[in-house]
Amino acid sequence: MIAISTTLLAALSAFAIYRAVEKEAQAQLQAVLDADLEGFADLYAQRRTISVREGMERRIANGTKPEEQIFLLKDQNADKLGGNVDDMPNALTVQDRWVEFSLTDAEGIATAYRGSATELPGGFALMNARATTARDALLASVSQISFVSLPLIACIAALVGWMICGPILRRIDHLNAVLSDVETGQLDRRAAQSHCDDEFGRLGENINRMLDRVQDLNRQTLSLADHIAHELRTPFNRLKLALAQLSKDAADPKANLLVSVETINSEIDQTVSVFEALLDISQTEADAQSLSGFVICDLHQIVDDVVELYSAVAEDRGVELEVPEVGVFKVLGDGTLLMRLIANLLDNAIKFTPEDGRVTVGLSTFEDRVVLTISDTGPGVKANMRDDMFRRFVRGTDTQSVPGHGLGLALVKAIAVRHGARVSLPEVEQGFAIELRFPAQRASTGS
Amino acid sequence: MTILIVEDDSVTAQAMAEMAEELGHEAVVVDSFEACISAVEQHAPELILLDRMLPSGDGLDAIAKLRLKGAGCLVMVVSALGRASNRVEGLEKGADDYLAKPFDPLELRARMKALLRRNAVQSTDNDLIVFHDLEIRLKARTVHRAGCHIAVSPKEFELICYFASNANEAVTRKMLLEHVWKLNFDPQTNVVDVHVGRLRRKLEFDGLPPLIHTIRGEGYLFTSDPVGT
Repeated sequence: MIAISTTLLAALSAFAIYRAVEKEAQAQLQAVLDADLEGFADLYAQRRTISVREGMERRIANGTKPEEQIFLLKDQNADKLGGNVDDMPNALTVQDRWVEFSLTDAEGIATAYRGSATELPGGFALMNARATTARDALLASVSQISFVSLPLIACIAALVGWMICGPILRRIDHLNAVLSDVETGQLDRRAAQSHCDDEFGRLGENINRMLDRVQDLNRQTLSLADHIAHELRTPFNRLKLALAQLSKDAADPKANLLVSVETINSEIDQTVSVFEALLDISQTEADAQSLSGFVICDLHQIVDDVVELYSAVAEDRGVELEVPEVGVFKVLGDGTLLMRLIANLLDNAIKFTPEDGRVTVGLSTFEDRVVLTISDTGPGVKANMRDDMFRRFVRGTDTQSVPGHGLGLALVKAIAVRHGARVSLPEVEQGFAIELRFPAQRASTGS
Repeated sequence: MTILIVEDDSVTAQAMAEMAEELGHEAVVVDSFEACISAVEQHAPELILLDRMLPSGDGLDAIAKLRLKGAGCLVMVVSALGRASNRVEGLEKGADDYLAKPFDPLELRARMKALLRRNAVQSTDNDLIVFHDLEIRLKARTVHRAGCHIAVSPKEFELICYFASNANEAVTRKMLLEHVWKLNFDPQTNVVDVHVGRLRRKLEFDGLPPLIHTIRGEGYLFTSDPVGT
């Protein structure tokens, strides 16, 4: 394709050059012919036909050959008065019109001319023509160069095209092969690392990143399916036991069947909530690099709303709830998810803090981050648990009496990651503290 | 009044239809969105119970089509897509309520009644809600019982307004979370019970009879009549 287009371009260029040269040569020839006619007209103005005839004779004497220029002066009876030819060429008539024609001499050699014949006052006919040999030779040379160079250009273009396109086509074939393999299920196939920082190198890197992401999502889906398959066996088992109890109670007229039915209902609700929590975690993890649904949120307002929801519970349990000072802490995020994150952390903190304990919610800014801290004076988390506590279904020791499925902190981590927040567990003297550093939006102010 | 049920599971559709008839409405059951759109034109229902995942597509698209055609009927999505994000999406795309499957039939019933009542109440502009010996002034945001002023927090005021506007009908904890706290997820801990308990104590001063009753397994009932729990 490159060879064809380059050759076509070269042909078009050659044609354009030919036309330009032809135009210029024609203009030069015409200028000489116009000068001849002007000279003869000046001579005629001096002494009429006598001067013209003398002028013609001078030109002949000066060596003007008929192969270069022909001229002729005739009287009213068409008798020759002067000139280097005897007769008017057949192609010419006295019309003041430029004509190109050809004459053959006695030796049979043809010469091409351009000229015209005009009538002078008094009925005299003047003919003047110049050979186009030089012009035609120039144009022939241009044509010849073009015809010789075009195949050469085509060959060079084909060679250069092959040198450029060959590697590109090979790289495209490689990417196609990788994608075909992926289509057949080989999700671990990747494009070869490119040593060139060019478009194809970047395309390969993008395809690899996309495949990494697809593989990661696939792993998460498989992991979710595994979790659902394994972790829901327990509630289903409890349901089976409750149904067995209901079946037994149905035969006992003194039994209160409503209690069994409520137990089953409660188990189903718990099972569904585990399902939903698992799906929420997976969805949030899958959306980790997406800003879809994100708006600028005031984290202080969200904290206020959650604290308002939990303040009564904290008070009932005798737990003091300290809230952050007034301020505006803007972050980019999903308001519902952020509320859920804070609710989960506050819920945990209040649940695990004993009576007369304290839960503190803090908001501040540090460099380009909004820092949310939630700490409590509860029993804290054992050192060997700290790394695992964000994993699904991981619960602390001695927590059997506290309701929960061990999914809350996994969701907190997923929501934090989705919001680009860094999660850390600062060391505290007593209890537990968690710190989340969100990327701040402009106009965040506060203590 | 007609309630249109768009549900492809025949057992669920039958249960919904029976519930609609128990509430005194005519039930029309269809199993596709195409049939839903023509049934809306034919029956002009008051309320549509709409499943989201039907073979013909997502029910939220059907809501958009209905709204484009100018249908102003209430729509409650009843769907297995029951996570908080699904619910937010449904409400944002035009649903008036969103109930996740599996649902408690009593919850569906309570929500249907609340929605239908909301439609009826919207036409009246009344600043004062009077219920038995309780007076709620909406603009002044004050609550009086037996002539005595009761100091309530802003959230407690919203809570009592929601109870009063759904008086004598069961109200579930999820409904309170959604309408009073605008939460689309369940915080698990008994936060609602604690707030309702506080409000209840404020309303029952000097041995006044209870107005908020807990119904086991269901939620709450706001009534002046005695209720056995």
